[in-house]
Amino acid sequence: MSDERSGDTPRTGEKIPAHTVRFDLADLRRYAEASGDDNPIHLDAAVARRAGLEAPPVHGMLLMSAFEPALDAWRADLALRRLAAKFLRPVFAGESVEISGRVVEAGEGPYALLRLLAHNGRREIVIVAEAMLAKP
Amino acid sequence: MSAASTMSADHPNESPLRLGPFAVRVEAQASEAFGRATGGRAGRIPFTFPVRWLAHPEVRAAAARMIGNAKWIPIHESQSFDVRRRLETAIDYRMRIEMWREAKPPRLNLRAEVATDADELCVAMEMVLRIVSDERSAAQ
Repeated sequence: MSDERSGDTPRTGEKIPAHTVRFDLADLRRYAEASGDDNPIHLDAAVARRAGLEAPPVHGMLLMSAFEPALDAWRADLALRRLAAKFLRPVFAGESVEISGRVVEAGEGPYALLRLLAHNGRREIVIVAEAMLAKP
Repeated sequence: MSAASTMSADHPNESPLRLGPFAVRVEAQASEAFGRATGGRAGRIPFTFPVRWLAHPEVRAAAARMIGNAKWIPIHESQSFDVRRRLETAIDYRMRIEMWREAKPPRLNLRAEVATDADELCVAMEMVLRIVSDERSAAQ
């Protein structure tokens, strides 16, 4: 984020820089401890298999949390006001996920409404999200 | 809750269970640990930090009762956060929760609001959990 953008009105259609994240089992354990979400499906391969999954899935909330640094890297001068996400497919421990986004509405204030996507390595959409950012 | 509260909206399948208010607070150490675990910026409360409060034992116990069967596993389907007022560390807030089941397909819905002691709404969260069968346990 460059200071020269501070105060600018975002443009509709503007894209945020792509942001890649990858969480391994140690990251999942760290998140479970920090968040209190110790659902064994994320931490125990046997439980994950019983739920029909090939490996422990990354907590949806851990993936959703990764949108904030991605948005920060785009416009650190704007504050997140709303973040909503639908988790469409599991992301497994060790898989890379690319976060991307585009401004769908913007205006004075400034504010920006963004449509965000997270893709797995097979280019499948794993999360569809929406974010509202505005001047703090 | 304040006039802007979204609680007590329509619940299509079942009357909601109401929990709280619970006293909640952003402790700096917990916020930093959450930030480290999620890649957040140092010195700032992570936007999704309030989800941590949903791990409150009373909330988990109520959710387990509503799921009603150890052979079912909750899978996170959707989540939202609306921040009206940024949270601060070391301030007491109150959290109220509504929770209800949907039958077809089986889901657990949860809506939470975090407000100041003066009843000023700060954060509203909504969580939808899909309830899926733990196949091997179910077969036992």
